[in-house]
Amino acid sequence: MSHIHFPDGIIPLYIWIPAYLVTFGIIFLITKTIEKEKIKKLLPLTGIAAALMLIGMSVPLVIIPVHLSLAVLTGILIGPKLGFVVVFVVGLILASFGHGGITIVGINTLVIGSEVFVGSMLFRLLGKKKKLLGVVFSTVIALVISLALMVSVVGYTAGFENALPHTHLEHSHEHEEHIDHHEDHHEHSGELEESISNINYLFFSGWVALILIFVFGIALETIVTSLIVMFFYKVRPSLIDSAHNFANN
Amino acid sequence: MNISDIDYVAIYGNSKFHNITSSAKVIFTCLVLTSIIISQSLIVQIALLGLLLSLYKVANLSLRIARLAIYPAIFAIIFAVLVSRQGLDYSLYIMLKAVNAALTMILLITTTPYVEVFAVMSKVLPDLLVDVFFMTYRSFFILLDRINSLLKAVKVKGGYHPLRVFLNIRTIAAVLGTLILHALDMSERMYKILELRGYSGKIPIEANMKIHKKDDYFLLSLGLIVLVGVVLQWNIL
Repeated sequence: MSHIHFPDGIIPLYIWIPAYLVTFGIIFLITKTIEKEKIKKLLPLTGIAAALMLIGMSVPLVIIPVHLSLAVLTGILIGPKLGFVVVFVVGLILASFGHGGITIVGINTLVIGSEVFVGSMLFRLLGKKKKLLGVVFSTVIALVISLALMVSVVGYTAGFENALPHTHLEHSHEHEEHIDHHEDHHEHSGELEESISNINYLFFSGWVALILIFVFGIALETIVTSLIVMFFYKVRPSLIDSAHNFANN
Repeated sequence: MNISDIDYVAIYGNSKFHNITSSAKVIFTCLVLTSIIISQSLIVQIALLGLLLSLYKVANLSLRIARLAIYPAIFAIIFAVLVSRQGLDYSLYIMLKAVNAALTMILLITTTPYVEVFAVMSKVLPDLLVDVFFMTYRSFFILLDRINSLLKAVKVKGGYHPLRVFLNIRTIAAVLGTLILHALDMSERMYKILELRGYSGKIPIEANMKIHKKDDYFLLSLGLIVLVGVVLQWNIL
């Protein structure tokens, strides 16, 4: 759900270059620490999880001004390490075809990677005994955390009004003013209030509409993730258990 | 257009551009992408679009292939309309940036077999990352093909009706279920194939990547000229 669509040239250099460096650092650590046997076992599923994520991220939902990321599902299916690599690969493929800029891939990987990590670790903690509850809880918490991260990054770099869902596609507008004119806080907060009051969803507007969009988005992602995980449990119960070593614990 | 069409054009396409060594094409792509990213001028973006379209002509690529850039174009148009209060120039600049990046990538994948692209990547990226790229690419297009076939079957068998919402929801759920089952079978089959072929943490991908032809050097020089041109303009402005 939390996926930044800034085109290139919006995020300042001092943000996107360190983000790329941190991302590569994490990927380097993952490649050094992951077991070869585990890669062999999970690589085919990794490709499929990435493909599902690509499809989810490239199809707008229309009924809600957000789209699915299926990042927590990826984390549950293949674990946090391979999940992080998948997030980078998917981000880079999407950016290569114009879905967001290439400079944003590092930041997106860190934001969605946090979703994968938190979701996967929480599921590992809670999903052994109560699967459905584990999926629901881990998805909701992971989404809230990554959403907060995304809003913080977008808010810091381009103004909080650009992180709002109704301006989902217009992150670039007025970027120069937002980056250069940090001192104008009063005008900035006025713009934020105006942007929030302009949000319309169903019969609601303002804060109610904003909260509804976030709640519906989180609920939809949670429902889809839970249904798919439970379906996997129904047809191949060992698949997820082996990714999280449930059988050995 | 699906993976088989892209592969067909990439492998059997016959043009000067197709015959250039894959590593030269990948480096050229990186240079042009960098130019697109750092350029902050509408004129430069228009010039880059012109250059890319000329290269499509050189590579004998039909308009049907350039159509692949429609998705980012539509995405960028929506974006451009939303930012239009900053002026038409800025909107056009944003749109061209997305379209140019997409056209550059499409030019690469339709003139270079994907195995060769991954072979070049494997020289600079960690093995695990290249393997994940490889599997994602394969799985994505296989699943997309499968979805298309399933949706065709649903329509032929009367499983979709614009006015019967519940029938449609039930059908979509069944399609998703079948797709996931297919994906699982595919994953197990791939695992067995990897095991049989002695996979040990790296899918060996080999391709002739030595830059040696006159056209290789020409393309690399063109990429460098584009980048230097953009950087110079950037500094002057």
